Amino acid sequence: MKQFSKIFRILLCLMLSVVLVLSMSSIAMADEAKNEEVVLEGTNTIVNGDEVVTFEPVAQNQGMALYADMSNGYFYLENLVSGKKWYSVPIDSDIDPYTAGKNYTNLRSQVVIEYISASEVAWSSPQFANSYSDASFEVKKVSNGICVTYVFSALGISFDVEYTLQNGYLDAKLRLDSIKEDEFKVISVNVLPSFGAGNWEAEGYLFVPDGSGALVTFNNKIITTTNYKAMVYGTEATTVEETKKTNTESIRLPVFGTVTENNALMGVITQGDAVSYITAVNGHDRCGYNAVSSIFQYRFVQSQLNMFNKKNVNMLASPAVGLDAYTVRYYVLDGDKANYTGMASAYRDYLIKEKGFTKKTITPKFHVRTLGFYEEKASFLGVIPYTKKVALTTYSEAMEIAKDLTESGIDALSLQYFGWSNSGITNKKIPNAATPVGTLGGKKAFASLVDYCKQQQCVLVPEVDLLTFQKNGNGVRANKDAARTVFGKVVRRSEYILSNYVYKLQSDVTALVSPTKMDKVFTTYLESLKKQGITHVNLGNFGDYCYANYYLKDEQNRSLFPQKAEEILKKYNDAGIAVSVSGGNAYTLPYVSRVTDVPVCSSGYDMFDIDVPFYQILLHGYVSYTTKPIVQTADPKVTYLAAVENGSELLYNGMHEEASELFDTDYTRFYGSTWRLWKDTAAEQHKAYYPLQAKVADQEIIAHTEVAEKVYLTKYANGVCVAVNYNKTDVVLENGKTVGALNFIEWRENA
Amino acid sequence: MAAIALLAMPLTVGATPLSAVPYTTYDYNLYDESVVAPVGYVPSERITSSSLGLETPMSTPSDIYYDNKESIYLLDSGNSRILVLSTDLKLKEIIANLPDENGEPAQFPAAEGLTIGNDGRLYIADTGNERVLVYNADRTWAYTLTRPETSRLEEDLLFDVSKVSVDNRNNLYVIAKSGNKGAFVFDGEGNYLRLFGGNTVVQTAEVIMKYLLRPFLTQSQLEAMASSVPITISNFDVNEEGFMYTSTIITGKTTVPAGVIRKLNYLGRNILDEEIIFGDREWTRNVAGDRSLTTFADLDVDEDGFMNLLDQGRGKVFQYAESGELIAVFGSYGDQFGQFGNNPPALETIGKSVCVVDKEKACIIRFEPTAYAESYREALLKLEKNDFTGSLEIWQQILEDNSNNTNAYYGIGSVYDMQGDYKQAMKYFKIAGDHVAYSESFQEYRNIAIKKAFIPVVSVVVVLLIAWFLVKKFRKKKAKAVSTSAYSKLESKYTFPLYTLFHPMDGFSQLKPRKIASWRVSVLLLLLLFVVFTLQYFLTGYIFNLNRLVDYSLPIMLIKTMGIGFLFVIANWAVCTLFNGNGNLKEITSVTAYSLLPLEFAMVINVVLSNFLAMTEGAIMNIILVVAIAWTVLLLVCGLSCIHEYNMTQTVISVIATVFGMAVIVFLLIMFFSLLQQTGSFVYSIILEAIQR
Repeated sequence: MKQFSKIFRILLCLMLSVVLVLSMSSIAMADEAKNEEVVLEGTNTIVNGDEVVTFEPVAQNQGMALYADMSNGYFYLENLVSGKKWYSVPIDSDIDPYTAGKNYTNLRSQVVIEYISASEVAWSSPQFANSYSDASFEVKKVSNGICVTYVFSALGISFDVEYTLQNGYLDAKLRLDSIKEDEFKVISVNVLPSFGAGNWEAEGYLFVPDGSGALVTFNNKIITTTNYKAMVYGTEATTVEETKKTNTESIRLPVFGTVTENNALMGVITQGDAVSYITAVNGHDRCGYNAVSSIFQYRFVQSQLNMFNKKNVNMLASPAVGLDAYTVRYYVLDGDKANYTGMASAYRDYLIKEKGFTKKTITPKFHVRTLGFYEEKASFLGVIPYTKKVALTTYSEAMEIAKDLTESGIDALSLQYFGWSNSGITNKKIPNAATPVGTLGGKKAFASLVDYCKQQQCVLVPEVDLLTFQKNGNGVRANKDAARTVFGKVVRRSEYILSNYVYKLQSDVTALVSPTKMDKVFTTYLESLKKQGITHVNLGNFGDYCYANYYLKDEQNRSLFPQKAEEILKKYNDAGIAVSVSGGNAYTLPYVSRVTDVPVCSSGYDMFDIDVPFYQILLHGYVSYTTKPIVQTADPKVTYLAAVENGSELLYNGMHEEASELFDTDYTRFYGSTWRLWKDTAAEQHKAYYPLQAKVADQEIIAHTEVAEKVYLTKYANGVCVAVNYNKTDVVLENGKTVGALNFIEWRENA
Repeated sequence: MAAIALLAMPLTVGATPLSAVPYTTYDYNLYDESVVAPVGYVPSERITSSSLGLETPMSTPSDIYYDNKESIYLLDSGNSRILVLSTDLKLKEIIANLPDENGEPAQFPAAEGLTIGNDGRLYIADTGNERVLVYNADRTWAYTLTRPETSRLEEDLLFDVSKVSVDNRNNLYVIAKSGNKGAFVFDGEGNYLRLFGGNTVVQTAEVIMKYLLRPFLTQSQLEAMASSVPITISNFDVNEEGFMYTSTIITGKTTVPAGVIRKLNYLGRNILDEEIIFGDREWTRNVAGDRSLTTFADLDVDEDGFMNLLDQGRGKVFQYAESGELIAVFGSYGDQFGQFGNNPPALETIGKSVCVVDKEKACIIRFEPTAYAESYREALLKLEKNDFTGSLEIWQQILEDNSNNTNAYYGIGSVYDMQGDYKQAMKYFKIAGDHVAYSESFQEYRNIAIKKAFIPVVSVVVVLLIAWFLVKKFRKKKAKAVSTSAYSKLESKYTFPLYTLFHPMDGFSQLKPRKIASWRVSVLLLLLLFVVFTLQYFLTGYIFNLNRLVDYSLPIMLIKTMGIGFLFVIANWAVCTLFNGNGNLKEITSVTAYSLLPLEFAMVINVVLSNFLAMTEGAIMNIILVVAIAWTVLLLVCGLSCIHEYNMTQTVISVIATVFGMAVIVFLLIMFFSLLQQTGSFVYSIILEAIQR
C-alpha cells in the first residue's frame, strides 16, 4: 500500500511539472499568437497513470491547432488566441480523487457505445462498451486531421470517427458506411463524452439547451440517480408510454457547451441532429468531472407488451438509413464570447452562414390564442347520436374581443385563431381546407373579421394542426397513412389521467400523419390557403413534433424529418405565406417569422443550477417569439416577468364563451381563458411592457446576467438595459437604480 | 460591460423563479375524476448540504420540526445529529454529540422522529434502538424511554418507535411502527399512562360479513382477509388547541377509504367528517413499477388549520381544508426541481410554505403557495366562519384563476342565497353540482313564486275543477249506451291493458279464451318502459337527477329495460314449460308487459313531480314508486297464475325459478362471448405473426 502511494506521489509530481511547463509554454504562445501565424510546436508527452500520451501537431487553422496521439487517437484542440487546450479525454484522470466505476472508464474513452445482440433482442436489454477498456484503435492521418478506427473486437463492431480541423471549427464525423457489425448491433454512440471536461477543481459551467437553456455549474455536488440525457427535438412522438409522470421541456437546438475561465467550447450537431441526445455529467462525490456531450442514436429499440406472457418484447428498428454521417462541430470561443450569450451569437452565425437564417422584420404584438370551437359526441335524448359543435368564439365574437382589447389599450394585437375551421380545436379528419365554418358564423362573418383586422392593423393568424387526426378522410387513411411502430401498430396517442399519470383508455385516440404522407397534407392545405388569400398561418405543432415512421413497408427514419419539414416550409415561404410554429425546433427557424409557446425555463432537472434564456438570446432581433399562454402557466406573474427578461411577446388564451362551460368537457385545460377574466391584467402588462418591446424589437441581446439575487439584467445591442426583479421586495442595483418588487425597470447605456 | 461576471454568479440552487412545474396539478370534479387545476404550490427553494455550508453532508435526514417560533429542527439521523435552522432556512446551530445515559455520544442512525416540547425539551424517536431519547432544553440527557414494563400491554407489542409528539400539557405521544392499538402516552416524567387513539376496526358491516364467511373460506382466503385487524396510525400532529391529527396506514386497498385522516379530541373521538376521502381517488391500472398505493407518511396542520398530507406512495403532498376541500396537490417522484427521491419521510409547514424532507436526495424542498392558492385559502377560511363580507370579490378572483373550481361557484351561490337572489344562487349551485344547496334555494324561490301566483293559480284550479265535473257528467251520459256488457267494444286489444290494471284476475283470465293477447301491444309497452326510463334519465328535475348526461348509453339502457323484460319472458317460458305451465310465449309477454303499466305511470308522474319538489319532499315520490312496484308485482303474479293455471304457491316458485333461469342465461351468454373474444384475439395474433415474420 505504501509503495503505491509513493508511486502515486512521484507520478503526481511528474504530472504537475508537465502541466506547469505546458501552461507556461501556452502562455508564451498566446502572446505570440496575436500577430503572426505560430509555428506548431513539436510533440509533447503526458503521463496519465498507465497511459503515456504523445501529442504531435496535426493541423492548424484560424487560430486553432489540433494535436493528436497517433497510437490511441487522443487529441487536444488548442485555442491559439487564449492558449486554452481542450482535451478529448482528460489528461489528469489518474489523480482524480472522486471518479470511480463506470464514470471512470467512460471518462477516459473517446467513444462509448450501446449495443445489443441481434439474436436476443426480444428479451434482453442493451449493454454498454467503451473505447478505453473494450476497444483497440487504428489511427491514420487524413487531410487536416486524423481518422480513428475503433475496433471492439469482442463484439465484432468497428467504425471510424474522423477528427478534422475545418474552417474555424473541429469536425468529429462518424461515417455510417464505416460501421461494421456482426452479431452485435450498435444502438448508439456517445461521441467524445468527456471532450473539454472540467475537473474537480475547475470553475465554470456546462450549457445544455433544455427548454430555454440551463447551466450546470462545475462540481455542484448534486447527486442524481441518472445523468441528464434528453433527445434533441423532443422525445420521439411515436413512443407512447403507459405512464407519463413528469412535465418536461424539450431540447429545441442541437447545441451544447462548456465554459471555463474565459474560454468556451461549443458543440453543434450538424448532421444527424434529429437522432441525437444531449447528455451531461456533473461533479460530485462520485464523479470528478463535468462534461456535456452528444449521443448518436443509430438504431431505435421499441418494445411492446406481449399479450401472452405480459412481458415487454423488444424489436430493433432499421438503422439511420438516408443519413451518411453523424457530425458534431466544435467551436472554440474566448474572452467576451466565452459565455452562453457568446455561444448563442456564435450559433446564430452558424445558422446564418449555413442554414439561411435571416433577420425578419419584427413588429411586436400582443397575442391572443383565440379558441374557435370543438366537436363532441352527443345524442338527442340518448337515442340519436350526432356530432355537436360547440362554439367558443365565433368570428364576430373574435371581432368583439379584438375591439374590446383595443379599447382597453392593447393596440398591437394579433389573433392566433385556433380551431377556427375544419373540426375545430381537436382534429377529427385531417384539415384540408382553410375555409370558414358555419358554426362560427360562416363566410360573411369571417370576411368582416378579416376586414376589421386589416383596418385596425390587427394580425389575424389562422392556426392549424396538420399532424394529428382521429378519423379516416380528406385523403388521409386512418391506418395506412398513420405513423406506426416497428411492430406495425398504428401509433395512437391519448391523454393521461392527471392524478395517476396513466394513459387514458376511454378517450379519443389520436394518430400521427406518417412523415411520408406529410408533404401531401401540407401541400393540399397550402393550396387552400392560397385560394382563400390567407397570407399568414400558424402551423402549430409542426415546429414541435419530430418523429419517424418505423413501419417496415413505409419506413422513414427520424433523422430525415427535419429535411422533410424544411422542404414543406420552403414551399410555404415560396408561396409568400408567413409561417409561425410553436416550439420552434432548430430546423424550422430559417423559415418562420414567429415562434409561439417558447418556454421561459428549462425542465429544472436537479443537476441544473440555473435557467438561462439561450433560445431567446439566439432569436431576439431576428425572429419574434411568444411565451406559453400566460394564465395557464404555474405562476402567471412570473411568466410575465420572464417574458420581459427574455424579450418575449405575450400570449394569452382567449375565448368568448364562459369558462365554466368547459367544466365537464375534455377542455378543462383552457380554464381562465374567457377574455374578460384577464383583460385588465393583460392591458396593464401591455401598457408597461410594450414601449420597451418597440425600442428593442430588432436588437440583439448582447448580455444577460444575474446582478443581484433573483434580479436579472438583459442588455440589448442599442444599449437598452432591462433589470427584472423576481423578489417580493425592492432591490437597489449597483448603479443606484431601484427595481420594484416583482417588477422591472429599463434604462439606456452607451452601446 | 460585456465582461459578464458569470463565474461570480452566486450558486443559488433553483433560484430562478418557476413558470412551470414538473408535476401535474389537479382537482377532483363531481365524478371523482381529476381535472386540470392551476398550480397551487410551486417549489421555491432547495436546501442542500452545500447551500447550508455543511462540512459533513446530511445523511438520510428523516424528520423535521418547527417550534412555531424561530427555529426549525432537522433530524440528520445518518450523522446522529440535529441541525437547527432559522425560518428562512439558514443554518443556526448543529446539535451533535448528544450524550446517552452513560455519557457516551448517542448514536441514532436509524432514528425517524423528532419533536420539541413547549419547555424546550428534545425528544428523539430512535427507531433502530427501540427507545426514545429525551434531552432537557440545555441539551443535557434527561431520560431514555423504553418499552413500558406493564401488564396492561400485550406481550407482542413492540417498541419500534417511529414518531413522537408532545401536547400542550407536556404529555408525550409515541407511535410504534408495529403497534396497532394506538399511541403510547407518557407523562412529563416519562411514566407510562395509557394507549391513545387506536383506530377502530374499519367498517363494522364488512367485518361481520367476514366473520360469517369464515367457516367457508380456505386458508389462503383467510390470510387475504387479514386486513380486518385494526389499522395502524402512521403519524400524527398536535395543533395549538391540543387536537391530535392522525393518519392511518392503508393496507390491502387500491383506493383510499374514507376517514383515514382523523382529528381527535381529548377523548380520542374523531371530530372530522368521516365521509371525507383524502388522497387520490382514481384507480390505477396495474402498471409495472408503479408505486401507486397511497400511504400518508406524515401530516402537518398549518397556522390556518389547513392539513398537509405527505403521500409517500405517490410522492405527493395534498393540502386540505378542515371541511375536506382539496386546495392543492404538489410534488411527484423524479429528478426535477419539485420532485422527490424515494419515500420522502416528513413535511413541516412554516407559515404558509411547506417544507418536505427528501431522504434520498438529502435535502429539504420548500414549496410556496401561488396567488391562486392564497386566495383560495382565504376564501375557504371566510366560508368556514360564515363571513360573507367581500367574499363575492374573492370568489370571483378565484374563478378568474381557475374556472374549474366548484367551490368558487358554491361560494358565489351562497352569497347570492344570503342576499335573497335565489335564482342566481340556483344557477351557481347547479354549476357547483350541489343538489342540496340548490334544493334549498329552489324551495325559497318556489315559495316566493307560489305567493306571487297564489290567486291566479287558485282561480285556474277552480275553473279546471268545474270543467272536469261538467265533462264527467257529459261523458257518463255518452258512455252509458255501450257499457251493457263487461267487455265492451271500448276494450279492444289496445285498451285491454287498462282493464287488467284494475281487474287483474278477471282480465288476465280472459287472455286465453278471448285470444286478446297481442304481440304489438306487448312490445309497445316494453318499449314504453325504455322510453320512460330514458325520460327519467334526462328530464328528472335537477334536484333529484344525479345522472351525468354524457354517461347515457343507449345499449345499456335498452338492456336495462327491454332486455331484462325479454329475458324474464324467455326464462319464464322455459321454466314453465318444465313446470307444466299452460301459458305460451305470447301470453307471457303480454302479462309481463301489461303488468309494467303502473310502474310506467308512476315514473312519468315522478318525472313531472321532480321538477316541482324540493329535496325534503322527495319522500312523496318514493311512496308513489313503492306503491307502483307493489302494484306491478301483484299484476305479474296474478297474470302468471292465470295463464299458467297455477295456484299461488306454484306461481311464487315459478317466479323464483325464473329469476334463477335468468341468471343461468346471462352466465351462458357471457361465457359464449368471452370464448368468442378469446378465439378472435388468438386468430388476430396468428395473423399478426404471419404478417411480421
